[in-house]
Amino acid sequence: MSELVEVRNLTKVYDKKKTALQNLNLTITRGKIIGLLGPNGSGKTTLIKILNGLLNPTEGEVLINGNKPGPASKAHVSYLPERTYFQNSMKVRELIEYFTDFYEDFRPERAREMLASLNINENDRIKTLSKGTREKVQLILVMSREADLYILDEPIAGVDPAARDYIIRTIITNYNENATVLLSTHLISDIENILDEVIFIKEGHLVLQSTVEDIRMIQGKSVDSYFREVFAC
Amino acid sequence: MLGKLIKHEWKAIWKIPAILIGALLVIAVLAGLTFISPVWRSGMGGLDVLTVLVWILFYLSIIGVSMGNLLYLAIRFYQSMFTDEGYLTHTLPATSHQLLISKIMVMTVWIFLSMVGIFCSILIFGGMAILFLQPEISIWNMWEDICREFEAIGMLGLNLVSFAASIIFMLIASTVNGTMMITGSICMGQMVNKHKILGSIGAYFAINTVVQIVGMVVMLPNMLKTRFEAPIGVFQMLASIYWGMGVLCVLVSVGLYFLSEYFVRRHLNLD
Amino acid sequence: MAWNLDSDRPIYAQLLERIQMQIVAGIYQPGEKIPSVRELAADAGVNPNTMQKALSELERSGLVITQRTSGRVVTEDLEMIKETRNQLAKEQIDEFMKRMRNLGFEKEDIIALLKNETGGELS
Repeated sequence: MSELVEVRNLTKVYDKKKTALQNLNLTITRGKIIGLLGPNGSGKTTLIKILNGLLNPTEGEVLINGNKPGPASKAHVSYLPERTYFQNSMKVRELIEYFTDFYEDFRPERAREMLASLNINENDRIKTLSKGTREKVQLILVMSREADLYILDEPIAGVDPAARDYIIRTIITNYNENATVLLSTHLISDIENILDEVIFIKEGHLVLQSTVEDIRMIQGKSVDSYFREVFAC
Repeated sequence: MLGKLIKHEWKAIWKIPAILIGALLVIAVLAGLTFISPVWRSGMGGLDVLTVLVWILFYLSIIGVSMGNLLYLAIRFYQSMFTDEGYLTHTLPATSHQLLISKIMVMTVWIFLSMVGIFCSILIFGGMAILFLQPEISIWNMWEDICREFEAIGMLGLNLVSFAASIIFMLIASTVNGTMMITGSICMGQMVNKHKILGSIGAYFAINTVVQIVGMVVMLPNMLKTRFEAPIGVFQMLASIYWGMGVLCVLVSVGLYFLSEYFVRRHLNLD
Repeated sequence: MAWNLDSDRPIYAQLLERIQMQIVAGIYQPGEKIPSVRELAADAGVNPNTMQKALSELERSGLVITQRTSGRVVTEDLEMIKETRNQLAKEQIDEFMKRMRNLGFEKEDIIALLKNETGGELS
């Protein structure tokens, strides 16, 4: 079975008035790096939160490996939210222990190797690290899991070019080959070379799901310029 | 999974409550040391400034431990469940029941330890007062006196074991209830979209008021029908109040637990 | 540092050209091991599946050979490398000639210009 994620008739309405997703249908297969692209407020983060079980759908459902979001799916989904979620008084070493305890697919040696290559001391407390370093620690923890699905919410927003290269490199060299990486971004040109597929969503609707090479071949332009065309105001 | 959750929850919060309780015990000893002062034996009135200051400090520390630990536990619960930390908490491969139970258990233990700490600090203070002011009284004699008193009451027909059981039951139930009041009101406060903390505080007072009123309605008839003529009557009344309060606490706690779990499972909405 | 890739052409074709170029230019010597797909993809800043596709194409053409023991290596068939180099050179010349003609130069003018530029070394 190559379907990893099934999104069926998914609708999310906040507070009975604000519709974030409307009857969305999607299938995500294994072994891909997929860009979830859309302007701000298009429903990207809502979809991601539902996949992670942080929000309940108003209607419809999502299935990951055939499971609804819950303990079974969470054991195989590695999620990088937009925010850093650490308890600031914890040491880096304690975080590694935490992940080792809770996620069976976590590889502490891999995390230690990556931390060492960035000269991050395991005995440092999170609160003594800079914002950029915290984000890198979080990425390292997330990418040190042998997950089935990596969900990265805006992994390169607001970082400098060197950090961006580091992040992209870390994603490419660490994701599990049979797994899929779903990453949302609005900085398409920075990331389109690493994508197999793109999903465009707009106002909670699916606009397009296609491979990057198809877009380049058929449209004769980059995903970034095609995106600008599709979402032109 | 529950074991791991409890272990990490414990590691995350033990330090501050333990330090506060430790500090209280040290201050209790300091306050007890004031009884060494010769002022006490000279029979002169008036206390020196230092003594008064240490006593005030002791008094404030007791309040600090009871309120401070509650507040700290409430804040930690809120942070780990409903702020950015929630992104990690709620993506652990655990059910909402496991998450809640682990947190409730660790909180309850710390609220209980805080009470024990306060009790011990008062014992230390009182014990030192007796030790320094009236060294001729032996603690052992006092204990025998107390036992004799209880035997006398026992001869009146009071079952001491069941009376003690009522107290212990009430203490445990009200400790759990204290935890559930905090967790329940914080979970319910999340329904107020813009002002979640204010919502939690509001929910706390609302639940508290409801519980008080229900408590009064349940207790009052019981208290009124007590016959005060017999000395045994007072103990019977107390025991029945304790049992009643304990049962009420258990019922409220169970209700709040299921309400909290429902809100966490169905209405989680992290910013 | 990610490779500099055009944004409007298929990535896989550009990767193919790039690696071909590196082999022809001797950056990868005949018989030398080529880094893994992951490493190359990370260097290039591209999708590993796309890199895989480019390498498979190179394998199909014979420029790269998969050995069971040491992974992918550059072919030791020097003739084939030379042929590829000539092929690439021809493409460059064709492109150059096309642009020069667009500028209004005839074949003889172009040869004269080249002689001039290279100090008469061209014969």
